[in-house]
Amino acid sequence: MMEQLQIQSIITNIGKVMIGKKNIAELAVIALLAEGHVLLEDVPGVGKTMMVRALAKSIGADFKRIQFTPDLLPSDVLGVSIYNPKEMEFEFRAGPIMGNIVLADEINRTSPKTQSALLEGMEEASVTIDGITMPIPKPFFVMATQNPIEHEGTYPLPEAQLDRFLMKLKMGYPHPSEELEILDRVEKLSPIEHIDSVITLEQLINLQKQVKMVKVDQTMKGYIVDLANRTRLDTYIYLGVSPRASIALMRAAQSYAMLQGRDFVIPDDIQYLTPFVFGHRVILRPEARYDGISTEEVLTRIIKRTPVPYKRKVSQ
Amino acid sequence: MSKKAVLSFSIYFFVFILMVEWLKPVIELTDTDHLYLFSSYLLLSFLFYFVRLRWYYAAPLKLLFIGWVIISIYTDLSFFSLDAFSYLIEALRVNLAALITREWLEVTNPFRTFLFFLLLWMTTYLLNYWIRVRKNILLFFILTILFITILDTFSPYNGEKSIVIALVSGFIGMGLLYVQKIGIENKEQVKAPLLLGGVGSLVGILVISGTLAFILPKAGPSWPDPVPFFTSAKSSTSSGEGGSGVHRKVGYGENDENLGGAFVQDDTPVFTAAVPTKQYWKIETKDTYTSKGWIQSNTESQVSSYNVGELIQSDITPGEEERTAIASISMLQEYPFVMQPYGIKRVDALEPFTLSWSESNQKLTTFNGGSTVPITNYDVAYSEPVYSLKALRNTKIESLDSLTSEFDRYLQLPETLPTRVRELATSITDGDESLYEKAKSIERYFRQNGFRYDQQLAAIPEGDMDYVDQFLFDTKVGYCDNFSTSMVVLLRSEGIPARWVKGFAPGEIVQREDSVPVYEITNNNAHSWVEAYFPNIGWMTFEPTIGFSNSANLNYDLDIQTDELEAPEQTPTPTPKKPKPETESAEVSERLTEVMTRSVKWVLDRKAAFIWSIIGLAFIGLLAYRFRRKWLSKMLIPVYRARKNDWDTFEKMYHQLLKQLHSYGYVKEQGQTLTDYATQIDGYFNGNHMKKLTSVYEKGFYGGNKIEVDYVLMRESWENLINQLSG
Repeated sequence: MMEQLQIQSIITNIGKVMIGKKNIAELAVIALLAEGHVLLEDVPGVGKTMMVRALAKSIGADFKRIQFTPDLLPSDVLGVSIYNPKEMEFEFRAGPIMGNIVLADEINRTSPKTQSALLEGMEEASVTIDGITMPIPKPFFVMATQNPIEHEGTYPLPEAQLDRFLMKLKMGYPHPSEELEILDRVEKLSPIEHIDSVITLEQLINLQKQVKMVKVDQTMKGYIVDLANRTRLDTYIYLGVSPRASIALMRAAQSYAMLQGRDFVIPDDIQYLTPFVFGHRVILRPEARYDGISTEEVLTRIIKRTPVPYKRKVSQ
Repeated sequence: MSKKAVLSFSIYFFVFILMVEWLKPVIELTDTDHLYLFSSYLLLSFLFYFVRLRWYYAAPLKLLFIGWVIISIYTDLSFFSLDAFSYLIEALRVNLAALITREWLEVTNPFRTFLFFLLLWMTTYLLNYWIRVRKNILLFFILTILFITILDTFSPYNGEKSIVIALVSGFIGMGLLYVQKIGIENKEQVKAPLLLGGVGSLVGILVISGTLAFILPKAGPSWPDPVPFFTSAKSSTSSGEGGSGVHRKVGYGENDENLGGAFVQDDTPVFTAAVPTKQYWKIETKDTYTSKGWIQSNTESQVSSYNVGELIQSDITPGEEERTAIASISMLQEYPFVMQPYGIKRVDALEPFTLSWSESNQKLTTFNGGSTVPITNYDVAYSEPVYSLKALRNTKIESLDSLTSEFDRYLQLPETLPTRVRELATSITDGDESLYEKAKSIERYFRQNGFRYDQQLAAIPEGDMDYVDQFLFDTKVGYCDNFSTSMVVLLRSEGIPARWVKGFAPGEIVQREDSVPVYEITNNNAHSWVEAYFPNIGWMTFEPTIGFSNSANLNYDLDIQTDELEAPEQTPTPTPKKPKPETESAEVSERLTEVMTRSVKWVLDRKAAFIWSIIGLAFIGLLAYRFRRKWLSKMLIPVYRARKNDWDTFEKMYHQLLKQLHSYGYVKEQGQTLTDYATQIDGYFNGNHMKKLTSVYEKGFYGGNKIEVDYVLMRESWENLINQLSG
């Protein structure tokens, strides 16, 4: 119960800055707790940066931002060793990746080389420069954004790299009433300046540990595998999800269950998270596009058709 | 007239033709005349329907026509006279009175004609409905074809032309209707090309297929004509049948001049006989073989008359006095002669008649007052003849020389008899010393040499062919007549006097009267067998037909080693196809039948009780099913109350609840989670019990936390839901 309160306080704190979009904030926190990273796909100006900053502030974490440009080099992300003539040796200057909360803005604008540098760091939670491997301090949470509108001069992330993100979220525009409230809030002052951290980094790390303690029943594991397997067999899907996706779904479900104040995962958790976790990991066949069927619809259909386990298989 | 009207008119016209094809056989088969009058009535009716004459014009006009027809057929009156009118009124009054008092026979012919007209009226009305509203006459068309073909097959009516006319006009009518339907559905004027195209192609197809069918060679019918089968099943008398025709009906007949051909089964009972042991029922014998069948020589022979109860002197000596038994016979069909068991001694009956025993064919005819009369119930006292085996073995071939000329007719053979028949007889009996052994060899011959019993495949000898020769050498397939006739001919070829016996086989046990079995003998049991004469022994029966057994009683009085003894069941049948079970299996089946009969009887005696209890149970079951919602789920509450408050019970209760909800129509989708479903259910029932139960269930099931549960509270929620379900 305490965990739930702590998590809720983070979300509430973000809510002070982010008007509406509670579920996105919630999901972002879930990803953070599940030690995953988030890909935010949306047009600029809907508050992506604000949310990440609020999140970073809420947990009292170090916030770094990398604005990706086509000429950005891997060393600009990871850091570089510079020769210090005074000391007569190379000195490592850590790159922006060495932060707790990293906003990788417009990740699809940079070259694949730089992209992969970031993604490798995300996956390994460490960077290797000049043969020296350095761990990235914990907690480590990357929120990458990409603009779905502009394709000119972009380098779309390959599927293998999309797989590294725990979830892909879409912000969307706020509701008119919410937008009005945003205007009201920012009229006099900047709310981001006025929020404090609600939990410490240690507490967050502890929460991340707690998430792994959430019980995932054997039937629920089976349910996840069933869902994953069905994406591989679906006629509309060209490429189904990887086992990494199944792990991600389980982790996210654990985290979500904790947010709900439960110490066990129920099918509802899994159903709720499946579109966010699986969405960016499947590739639809061209036929689906011709039939005007979106990834969400395909996944919803799969969820609808997958039997929810609610009794033990009678061992006769 | 517009094209539409032409179309409509043609449809009515072709339907009229179809209808006339119905009328024709009815008129012909019922010996009614005036087809043209009925046809004109139909024409009139369809005309009225075509011009859509209002019913209040059409009905009086039709009635007028009917009245005119009746007056002109049945009376000489002028139609437009007062007499005619009063005649009609009077006829109506009389017949209606007859109808009301249900004196069907009192109904007069004019009224019948009127009723027939009414029937036609209804039919045309129905047809008009089919044409106008349904735009489909397929059913009527099919019925017409069926009607004509059935009549053509089973009645004297010849429907060859009718079938063609009906088919053509039916198809054209249907095609036109379809064209009309298309026109209406498309809300267009029926265009001439469409009409021409539709009708033209239809007629073209009909003409081409018809011509092709006419020109093409046609195979004969693969089934035999079914008519004789049906007619034979219908009529019950069998006397006098036989001889002519390819198919004959099984049963006793007097004409045996042309044997052979298939038999049609007929299980009409002929008589029943209460008799202690199985008996062959002899009617008569025949002595002259014509190479096609049997006739009787000198029918004007000696006749001895006996009164009821008087000892009959037949040419077969009865057995011992103490073995005398009684056969009680009840005739179900009228025959003016006695069914004789072997060893007949006398006939007793309540009815007055005299018996005449004919020397020539051993027939016991029943007379009363100079003419033959059928008798229904009589008892025959008999004692089965017993033959000494020793004496039989001593029947020497030489003794045949001493036969008197009166046996000549039992040695007669046609001159045309092929020599190979005689040669066969010699080869069969080669090595046999006694006459009896010869006869036995011949009897056995049929059971071992590829002969087959079949009622359908028996051939009819054509041209010069000999009936026996054909059976023995060509077909080897036949029924009792083939076997018995052949044996007689073979015996006679060997110089042994023999005669052909006609009668009935023992039949089947149908019941028991004071432990005496009652056999029912049907036409299917009509049979023929053989009697052979041995000097010093007399006449003795033989049964050559495969599947039948009727050994004469033998007295094993030989003073030689027993291993040479002839077994009593001396007919070692290599189990051929058996139309009748052999004695042993017959006994088993008799016992079985008896048990069956008894149990069936037991049930039948309590039929009413059984039926009422079945009806009662069915009613209760129906009520229970109808109100199952009221009690079925309520039953669960006490069931689960009796159980412990633990997780297992709770789990079962929860699943039971899901099952009940499902059966009440609250279906949980495959991909629906329990929480979602619970929300839905609580929405239906306006409560939160399902959510409570579900959260506990989920906690236990998915979370493994089965301890911190308030089971009492859960039970309350559960019972609440169950009660709401049954409420």
